[in-house]
Amino acid sequence: MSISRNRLYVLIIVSCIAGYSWLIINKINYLTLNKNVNVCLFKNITTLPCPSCGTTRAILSIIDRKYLEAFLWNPLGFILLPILLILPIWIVFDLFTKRKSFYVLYIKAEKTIKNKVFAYPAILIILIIWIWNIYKKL
Amino acid sequence: MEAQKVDMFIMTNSKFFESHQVAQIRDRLISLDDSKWGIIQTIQFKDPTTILIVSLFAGSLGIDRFMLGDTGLGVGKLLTCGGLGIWTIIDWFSIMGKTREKNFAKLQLFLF
Repeated sequence: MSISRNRLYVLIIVSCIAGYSWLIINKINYLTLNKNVNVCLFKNITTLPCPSCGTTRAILSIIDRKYLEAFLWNPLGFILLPILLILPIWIVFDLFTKRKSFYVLYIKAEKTIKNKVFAYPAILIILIIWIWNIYKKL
Repeated sequence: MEAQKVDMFIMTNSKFFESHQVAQIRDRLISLDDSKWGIIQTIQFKDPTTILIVSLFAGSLGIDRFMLGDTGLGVGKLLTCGGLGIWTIIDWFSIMGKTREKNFAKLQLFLF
């Protein structure tokens, strides 16, 4: 039993809106105060950065076309920015044409990632990024 | 199935389901054929309390969602720092209900 189509779409749209507002808040904050907002629960409790810490800074660097800097902040930014750009358009398109092409892909992707061939490398990459993040003291 | 067997099942497993589902499960089990008892007895359910503990400690990494089998949402939670912490907090309160729903869905595969 998986999540239903409408629920998934609402969830993604809400997270995309939250994501864009978060980027704007960070950009304004960076321009005015020259520092970052920090809400990461994991980091605030354990003082260690989490695997996705630094992604906001990475995405802001990509927007400023500083690609190397973005990679050094957090390589996950290169995955998240395309997702943030493409998903809302795709989902609005799906909703208007009453199709479920993204939902079908999501279910397929979920099945694929559960396969050991893809799951273990993914876990390894996340762990490497995490260790790198701790080493960098983000 | 015999009412005694069904009541035994309900007694040992009622914590895995929502309270409003238990009566429905009981009715359904009683009308079920006796040959399915062996399978139904051996289904493994996920304990809501365990998932809640995982959610409290590793919720911002999405581990609770991975354990429930929602891999896609788990990846989403992992890559966004637990949905900026908001999703993590929402899940602290909703994950037990989600686990029970998953358990019910799993049982339904055998009931119908």
